[in-house]
Amino acid sequence: MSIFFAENFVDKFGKTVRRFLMRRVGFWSSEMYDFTPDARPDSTLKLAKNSQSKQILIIARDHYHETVRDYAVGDAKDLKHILSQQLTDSPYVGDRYTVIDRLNQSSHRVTSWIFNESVFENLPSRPWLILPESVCVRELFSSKAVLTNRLKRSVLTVDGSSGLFSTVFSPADEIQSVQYVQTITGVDSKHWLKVDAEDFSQHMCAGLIEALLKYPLRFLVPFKFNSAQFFPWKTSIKLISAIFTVYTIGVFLYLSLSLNLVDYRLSELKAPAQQSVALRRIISDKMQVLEAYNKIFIDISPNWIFWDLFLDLKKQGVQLTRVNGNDQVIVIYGLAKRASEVLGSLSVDARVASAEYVNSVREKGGSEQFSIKILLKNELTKPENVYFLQNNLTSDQSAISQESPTK
Amino acid sequence: MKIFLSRNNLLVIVFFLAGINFALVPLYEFQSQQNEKLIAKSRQLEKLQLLLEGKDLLESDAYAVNEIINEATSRFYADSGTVKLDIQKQCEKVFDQNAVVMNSFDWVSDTGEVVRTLRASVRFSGKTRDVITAFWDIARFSNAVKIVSWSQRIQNNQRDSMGSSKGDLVIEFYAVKPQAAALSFNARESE
Repeated sequence: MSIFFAENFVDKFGKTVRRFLMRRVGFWSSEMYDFTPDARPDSTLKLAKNSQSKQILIIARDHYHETVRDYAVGDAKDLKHILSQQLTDSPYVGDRYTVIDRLNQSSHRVTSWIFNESVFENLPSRPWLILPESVCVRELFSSKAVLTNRLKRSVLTVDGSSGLFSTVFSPADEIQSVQYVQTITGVDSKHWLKVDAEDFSQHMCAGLIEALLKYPLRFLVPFKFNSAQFFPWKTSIKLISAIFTVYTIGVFLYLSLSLNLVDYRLSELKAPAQQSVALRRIISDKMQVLEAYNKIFIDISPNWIFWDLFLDLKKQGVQLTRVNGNDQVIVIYGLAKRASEVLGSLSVDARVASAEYVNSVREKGGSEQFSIKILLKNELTKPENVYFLQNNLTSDQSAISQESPTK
Repeated sequence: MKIFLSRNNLLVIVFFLAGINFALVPLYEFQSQQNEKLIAKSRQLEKLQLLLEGKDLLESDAYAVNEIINEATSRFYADSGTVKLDIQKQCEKVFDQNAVVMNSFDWVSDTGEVVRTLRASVRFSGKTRDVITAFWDIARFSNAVKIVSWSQRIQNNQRDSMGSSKGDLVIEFYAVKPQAAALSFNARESE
């Protein structure tokens, strides 16, 4: 029940806002016309009762000059500079509104509109935005050629490979105009999409929204200071206040509702999430313990391998007299016929990483007395079981796997 | 221009600016704060959702880590009140079995928190071949043992005999409380 009322309220509120905004939009063709905000069976243009309230205007094709020109300029800044310096070839004098589209790396297409100054002279107040009729048509329809009928005249808008082309003609000139347009655009009249006068208002509204979304500030009417005294300050302040209030209330409602919703979801997830957090903490603690274990296992350098070396040296007739070991470094003292042979055999031994004399070799009773420092190889002294941490983790925390015991 | 900058218009501008300063700016700041709060909470919510999605993986990881720690713990001595005595007995047994005389056995250090590290200094004497087998037996201990350093003098190392040895070695033993790891896991799991 409450959902039904809420939907009803939102629907009504939306309609009111839409109606309020649509009162600010008009269609200018020598006279001001209203748009019908809702889709009705008959949505032809109606003469506006209050022209002063219009801030956004769609100007009929009859009242502006439209040109499309391609420039072989790659940099948009340079192009804007060129356009600002360029004289217009329009029959009308006034501000130029342009849309620049990049064609490729080295060229741009500039579509320009210059409105007849009489439009502004005949308007009761200076509007904020003026949009050409052809732009609204182009933005609404994906069809290449659109023929719209309104106010007993037809407008053809073609968005072809050479850019936007639009023209206006009366029914009496239709046959000639159609042939002319077909020749210029190369689009057969059978492929034209036709919009009747009854649907015009509704379609133009949709086209206006599309155009404003695509070019929100492109068709902004420049402010003229001398027009300040004629500017509808009261109406504008009221409108701005209304928009600001709606915006502020909307943002406030959105933020409050979102925060409450997020808080509710957080409180819902808090209890189960605490278990996960506890698990993460446990894993983290365990990893530290495991790292401490690993450090011990890695540090262990079992030097039983040395005794294999000892026995091999014994077989070679070497008499060892003293052994000093410290981790992997072992210093042996002994007697042999040739100390260099002992050092040579140790140097090439697969179990020994390096071997070198500690002191000079001395002659003693027909034998040579030596002392050699041996460094055992790392891989041979690796302990039986080392528990390694791996990087390919199953969870975001970490995963642990055990390497198979190697000796 | 003169009309525009009239006293009335200037008053309107002053009120307008005051309104911006005392109403709009605080309102904007409040909304910004609320927005930041919303962003932070949304991020927190995302994190919680991610955390909950990965709960199964976390559980399996926690179980796997626990298993590995239990297995690794079995490679250390159990840290009980008699651990030193047990280790000393084990060493004495090895030296006895290999007919090596243990002249002295002294504990030189006892440190560590997670893993208790115990260092012992042992003086020994005996036949060199017996000393070698004793060293091998120490290396074969099921518990992790590190021979930190050793020094031995070998006498009468002739062609047909390895002679006798006399020396000392420093051995490091490691002890952990075996139930501590498993207990803490179970305790937190039941939270």
